[in-house]
Amino acid sequence: MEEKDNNTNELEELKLEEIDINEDPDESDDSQNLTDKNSAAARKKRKFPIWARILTAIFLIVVTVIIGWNILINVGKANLYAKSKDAVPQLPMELMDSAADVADVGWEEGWVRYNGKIYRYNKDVLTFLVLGIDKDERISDNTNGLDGGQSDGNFLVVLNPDDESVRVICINRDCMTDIDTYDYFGNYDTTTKAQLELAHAYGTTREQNMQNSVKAVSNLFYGIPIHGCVAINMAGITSLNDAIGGVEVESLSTFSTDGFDYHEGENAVLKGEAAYHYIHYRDEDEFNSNDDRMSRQRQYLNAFVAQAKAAIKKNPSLIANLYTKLTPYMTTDISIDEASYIGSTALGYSFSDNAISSIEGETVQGTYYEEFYPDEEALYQLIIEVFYEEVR
Amino acid sequence: MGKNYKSTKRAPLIAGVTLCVAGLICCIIFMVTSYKKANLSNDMTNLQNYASVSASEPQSETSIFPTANVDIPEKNLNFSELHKTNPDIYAWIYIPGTSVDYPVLQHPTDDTFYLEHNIDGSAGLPGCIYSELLNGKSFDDRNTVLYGHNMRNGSMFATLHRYADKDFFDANRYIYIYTEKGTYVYEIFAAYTYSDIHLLKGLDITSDEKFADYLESVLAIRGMGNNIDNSLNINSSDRIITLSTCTSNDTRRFLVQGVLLNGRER
Repeated sequence: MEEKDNNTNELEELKLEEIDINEDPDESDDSQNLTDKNSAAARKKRKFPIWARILTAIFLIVVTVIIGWNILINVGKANLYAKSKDAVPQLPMELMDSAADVADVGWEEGWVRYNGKIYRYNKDVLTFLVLGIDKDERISDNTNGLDGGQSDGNFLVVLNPDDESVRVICINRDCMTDIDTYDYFGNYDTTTKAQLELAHAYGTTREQNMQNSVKAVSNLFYGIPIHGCVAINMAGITSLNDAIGGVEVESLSTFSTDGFDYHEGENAVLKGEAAYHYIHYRDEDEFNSNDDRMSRQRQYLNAFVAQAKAAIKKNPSLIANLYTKLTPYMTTDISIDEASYIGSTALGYSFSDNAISSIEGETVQGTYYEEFYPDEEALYQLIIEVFYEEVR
Repeated sequence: MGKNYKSTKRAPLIAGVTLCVAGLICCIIFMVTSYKKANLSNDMTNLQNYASVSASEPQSETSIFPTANVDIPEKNLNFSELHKTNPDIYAWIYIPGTSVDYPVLQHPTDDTFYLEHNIDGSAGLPGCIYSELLNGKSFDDRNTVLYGHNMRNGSMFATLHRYADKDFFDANRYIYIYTEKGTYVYEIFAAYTYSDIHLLKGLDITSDEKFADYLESVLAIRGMGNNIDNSLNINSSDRIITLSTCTSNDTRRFLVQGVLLNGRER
């Protein structure tokens, strides 16, 4: 059913595009006629067949490109939504002669009761996990099952086509949750409650590292579907940052690290490593310093998105450029067609500062490391708010 | 040209015949299905005659059979009559608030027999509520698992899905199992979707320690539509019941679990 809808949408879009194209050459012809009012116009008319031929060729190329692009993003769209198919209950493949009346059980599969109201998973929503891995180099093959590196930054990016919004949920890396652990040789060991950031360390391949994080985050969020994941080594931040010409922020704290100085309240365009250190630094001697870092990351992300959007609007080819720049530092299960769909859709969506939220909870000092315990009530409410829609 | 002419002339005739055949097929399908349906409901109403719920009254128990300290809806069950209908019937399950009010069967050799065989032994749906040979018939195993189809018409275990509603879960907490010896009462502590792993073969609960691990894992399951009550202090000395039915997803099951109250201190 869904595929069929997609196909018809695709056709409609294609028709619209073709009409647009048809208008364009006419307009340019008109303007040429207006500017060239002298005798040259007569000569041009004789040459019209050649121009027509060239125009037709250009027209055909443009149409082909547009069709190709549309096919690409529609395939990407279909692939992405297929990933949450199981979360949306299908009609029961029933067990009874079809003439039997459907009894009113009074409850549909997938419904959730919250504060007396009934909600269901919003199947339009697309959810991506973005991980910042604490490795300062390009991605490389793991040497053993514990070598994946930890995820210092953990963000869920949620695209909602209903209100055309992008939301970001920051997850504290010390969040205590069920993670699967593996041994040195990559054999599954056990599932244990530990800091979320550790999930990424386990696994013999980079894809396994990433999927282990995806599993842990999905479970933390009561099993919501995650449509794709990107794990970026921290070193990739620098090239991403510079690709859009640096990011301007007003420093939230005063600190010095690795020869870089930051002063609270001071405006600066962060370039190269200055950006990396601004979002990576934390005072390891101070309790709960991760909170301070998370607010810097949040601020940076906000500024980055605003600047990237402006830059991409000016120069759309920047998307592909960013993708290429990031490739040596990134592992992802998002294919190029899916990325194209995400890029083309999300660009038109609104993204405001209050679209960034974080999981509420409490940080306590564990035996060796800090542990963050999420406020389950608040988390549940956040999930209802972001991923669910009211039935009645 | 001639051929074309012929075929257009024949068209109404072909259409007419096709229509007649289609109509005939529809009639046959309708007759067959309504006959099946009538048969099915006859079966069920007959069975319901063996059991009728009367006013709720504390059950008088012998000292050998531990009581549950819960009011038990009284049922006039005639087990000897039920045995005459089918000797594999060994208990009766009743869950107020749902339409679960059925005999419980266990086939002496074939575990999957009652998946697609009815009380009278006829093949087909809806099948029966049944247990497997890994479970005894005395409800003293660590986990007794009962299976029933998720019928679209709401029969068998379909209405168990109501337990996904928190309001319903909070208001309807008891499972009653009537046997010749006495009545077992279970308090429901969990309702959730789970993998289709075989609960008795696929999960090791052969020691108290393993059983405790399993119970702990159940209480830790996270899912938006799950209802799990952590407050009953369930531990490895408890005995539980699991009611298993299908979901729309082939590889997922909807489970309702209760803890046996008979002889349990609260």
